[in-house]
Amino acid sequence: METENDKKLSAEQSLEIIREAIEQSRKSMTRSCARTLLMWGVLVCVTSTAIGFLWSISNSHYWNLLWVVMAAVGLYSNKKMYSKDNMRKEPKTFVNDVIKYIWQAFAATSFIAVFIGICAKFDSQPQVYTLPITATINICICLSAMITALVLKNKTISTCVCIGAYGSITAALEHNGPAEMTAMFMAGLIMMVLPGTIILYRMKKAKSHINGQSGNEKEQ
Amino acid sequence: MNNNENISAEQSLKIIRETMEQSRTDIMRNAGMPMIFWGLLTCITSAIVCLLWKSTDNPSWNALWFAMAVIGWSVTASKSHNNRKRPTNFFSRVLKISWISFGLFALIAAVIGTLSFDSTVYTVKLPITTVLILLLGLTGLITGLVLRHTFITAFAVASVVPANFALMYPGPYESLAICITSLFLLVIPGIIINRQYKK
Repeated sequence: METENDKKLSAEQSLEIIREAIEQSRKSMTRSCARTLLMWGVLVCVTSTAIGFLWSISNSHYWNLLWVVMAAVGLYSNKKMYSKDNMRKEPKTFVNDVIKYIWQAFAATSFIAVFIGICAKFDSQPQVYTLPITATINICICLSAMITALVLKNKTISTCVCIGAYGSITAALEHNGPAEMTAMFMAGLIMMVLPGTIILYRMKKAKSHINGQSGNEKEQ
Repeated sequence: MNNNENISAEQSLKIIRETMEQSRTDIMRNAGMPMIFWGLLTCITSAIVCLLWKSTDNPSWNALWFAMAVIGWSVTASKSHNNRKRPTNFFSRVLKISWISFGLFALIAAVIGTLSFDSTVYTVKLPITTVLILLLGLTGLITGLVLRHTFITAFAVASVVPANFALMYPGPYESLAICITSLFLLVIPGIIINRQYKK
């Protein structure tokens, strides 16, 4: 009888633990996601500015290869950030996995889009349409960022994605050549840097508020 | 008491792991039919659009895609209303979010793409079919990775190949590219999932 009661208690506790684990995982993931967004956003802004500048003065679109360098630097920094988290023994859960899968899928789709776009430009059999790579990648970034925001239930990211989606896609279709990079810059700034900074600022403020409250309680 | 708490914590961790795996299996058991339904609906619509566009030489028949979305959405909504007692979990929420976001961005891409063909609005033309195939592939890939299903993941990557076909043969045959994509991304994996999980 006692063991049955214990089992029942364990099942109830488990459900509560699952709920808490998902919420806790979402909160810790939001902080981690904000840092990742900020890091990638800064990289995108710096790279797009550099490419736009070099492309306009040299009139060579080969400067776009700098995106590959940016991806390598970003992946290395990401790995460093995650190894620091592992050293702090922050738990990894299914929310982390889902966010990782979303961005892995985005990376794979972007790679395919670039490949198709280049094939369309250099194919021996002339294709009627060419694929605007910047606009297509911008749409893919918007979709991935929107899914991330909804999974994390974060209104800051989703609002920034809505604003950034309109601005960056429109800019990508209005400009051709080096000016296309303004679209990538806007995407990085509005959809990555801005929400990342807002979330980190809010979390820092909340933490200092809690620290202040606990300090007051100790004094009393 | 302490011992009881220890057992409870260990059991809890085991239950969490089992629950998440069970959630994946539950989703897979119910995922086959919606995939086949949406896949077939897309294939039928693309065939009709292709035939009508070719015979009348009028691209306005593409408006049938909106009719397809309305029909698909109504059927899915009525089905989910009937199955409202079916439990939902974290994975089902992620998949719902992903496909609703896909629908939203597909609509945005269609509107922007249509506007881009007017050179007074945008300087660059956005090939709607190719972008839609890439978005379909992206969402399919997320689905495959979240469900950890190798078939869906592999077929999602393969389904993006017709995007190039849509660039080479614009016009009525573009819809056939969507037909091939939905066949690889939705119908075939749906049939495989049904066979695997309905045994």
